[in-house]
Amino acid sequence: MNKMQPMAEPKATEFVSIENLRFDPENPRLPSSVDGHKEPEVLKWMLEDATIPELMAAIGEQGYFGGEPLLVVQANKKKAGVFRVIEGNRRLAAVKLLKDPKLASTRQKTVQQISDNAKRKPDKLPVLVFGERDDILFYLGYRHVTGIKEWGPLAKARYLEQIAQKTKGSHSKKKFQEMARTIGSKWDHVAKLLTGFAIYKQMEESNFFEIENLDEETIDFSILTTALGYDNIVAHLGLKNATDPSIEDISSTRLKELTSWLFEKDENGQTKLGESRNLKNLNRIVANEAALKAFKTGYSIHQADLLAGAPKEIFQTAIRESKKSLETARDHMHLVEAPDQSDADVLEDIDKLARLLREWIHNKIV
Amino acid sequence: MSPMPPSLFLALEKFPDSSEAHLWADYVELRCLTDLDLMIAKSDIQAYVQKRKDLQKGLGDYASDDDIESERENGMYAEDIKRAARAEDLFKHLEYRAAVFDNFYPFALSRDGDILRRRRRVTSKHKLYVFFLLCSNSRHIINRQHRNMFTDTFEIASMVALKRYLPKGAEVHLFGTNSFNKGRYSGQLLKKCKCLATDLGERFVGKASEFPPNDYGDNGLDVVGWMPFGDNTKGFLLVFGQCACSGEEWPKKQHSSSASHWRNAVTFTAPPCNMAFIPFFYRRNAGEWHMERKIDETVLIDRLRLVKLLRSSYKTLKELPYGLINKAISQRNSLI
Repeated sequence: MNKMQPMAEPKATEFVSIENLRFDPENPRLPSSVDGHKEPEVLKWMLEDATIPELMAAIGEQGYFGGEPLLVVQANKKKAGVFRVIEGNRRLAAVKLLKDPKLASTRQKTVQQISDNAKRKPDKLPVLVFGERDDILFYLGYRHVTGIKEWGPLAKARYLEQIAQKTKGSHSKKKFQEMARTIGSKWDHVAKLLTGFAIYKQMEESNFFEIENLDEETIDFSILTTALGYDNIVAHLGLKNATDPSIEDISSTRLKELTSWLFEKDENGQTKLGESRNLKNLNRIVANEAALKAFKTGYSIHQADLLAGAPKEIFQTAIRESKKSLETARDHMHLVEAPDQSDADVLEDIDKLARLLREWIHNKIV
Repeated sequence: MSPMPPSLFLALEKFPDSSEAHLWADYVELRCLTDLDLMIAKSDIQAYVQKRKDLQKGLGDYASDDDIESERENGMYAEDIKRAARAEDLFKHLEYRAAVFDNFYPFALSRDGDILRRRRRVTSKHKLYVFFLLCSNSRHIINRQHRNMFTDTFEIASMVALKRYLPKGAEVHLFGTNSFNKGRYSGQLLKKCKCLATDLGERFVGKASEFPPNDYGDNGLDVVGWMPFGDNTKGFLLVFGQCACSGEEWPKKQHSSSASHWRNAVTFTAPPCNMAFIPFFYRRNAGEWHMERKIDETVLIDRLRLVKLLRSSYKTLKELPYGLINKAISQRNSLI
């Protein structure tokens, strides 16, 4: 397929026995460490990472909704009647486990209980048969990016990469807009995700810079894409913007450094970044020479951020919060029957502190 | 939602009221503690977030204004990434707990950090951790008497921790209104205050009208400790502490045992050091206080400090409600 195409017309819905339905080994949701050809591996991964028990319970209670056929292609051209499920792998997993809970190698008790309580355990599922996997590919994006059970960020990026390869033309806003329309998102977000995936692939090619215990399974792709939302971090990497997946100008030294800050864990399992919300601190730090130097030499993210001009912010927040607290006290004073001397002492201290701060500001301004 | 069978010890349908990561981490641990397969995955948390409006609201509070703005701009696609990042933060928080609590932590994370599993064999060290976890989350305990049992015994655990913190020879006593307090400071508040003033070599200065004979309370003081010099003169290292098992309430309560509050009852040659004992893990991922500005002129003893202090004396804590802890450990909830 060379350009965006509407979904090809499938054959009419038919019912197929679940034994003749196979998982899609190219399912973007599957990490590369899981062999998609091996059903036990797929089921184990699904049970741990794709919230299958809830789906099992729903199908077990309501039955399988015939209006939602699985989208399949023939698994083997030579062997008729066996299909590969391109869309609906979670539903297939849920139904297989309902029917045979022994297939579960994890969450066994939960799966057994749901299966025991199930009112319905379908043997056959409705399918729509397509000629080629590519016929379904574009529809997949729409469903899983905006649908009920979404893919994780890495699965989405992997999918977009598959789509980008099948779409004509080099990276451009027009191409991203076209892709964005297919999945119901915005062009710049598509571009950012592809840029994140390109960076991720560079990390992978560098064997994740030999950082201990960092690999496809342990890396958190969402942190990387969130980081690309911060202009200073993007500039620090040597990139002009976060919407060019060619990442030609990326500095590998700085990428290595960022990878370490974001993902390398200390003995307490903590990264230099800490929580994802600290990305805004990091964004300030990388744009400030003194703060960056301090951060590199071992200052914590919050200590280094103070050097990036944050004290003013702290000062302003603190005095505004104090004002708010005093206003709360004022609003409640009519309810207090017997204030005591210690309260008066505290207020005197507040008065002294406020005078000191005001005098300091006055001297600075004048 | 169907009502809980009365035989159950914990009810876990309600999510935490607040979006604070340490409260959510507790909730995840409780779900894991009682899960049918003793496990909970990061994807389960993401699914909660996606399905439950109340949780989305909570995480909205957790997000910065920038995050919310970006979600508005980019629609669901961006929201999903934020959700994943938040679940990731939560599991990083759990990873930090696993590291610092070490062999007192009854859970373990999978190598990829995506699954929290409860250890099959729960040791007595683990039970100490579970005790503090339950004290912090007593709102999930169905029976009120059981809840009281945890708050009462938490005062005892705090008293023993204070004993461990102070040098050998220190006097440490319960002062709180507590079913286990049969000691020196039990009974009528007036009597307790007068006795304490005498023990400290100070004077009782409270107004009799403010200490009526039917008041058996504690005036906000739960544990008291001091390090005497043995020279019959007043003025020595003195600690006043209060215990708080409510996540929302403790910052407001932290001054109930302070010198400024107690000066109306007892004279002080030197003011006591104020301590607040809380069963919560009041930390961020890297170990710093969750919100330092809420700690005001108080030495805060949270779950981590408590476990550190009780590391070598947890076996002496015979009063802990082990029967109830075992009930919680043996309860099984379905994921669905």
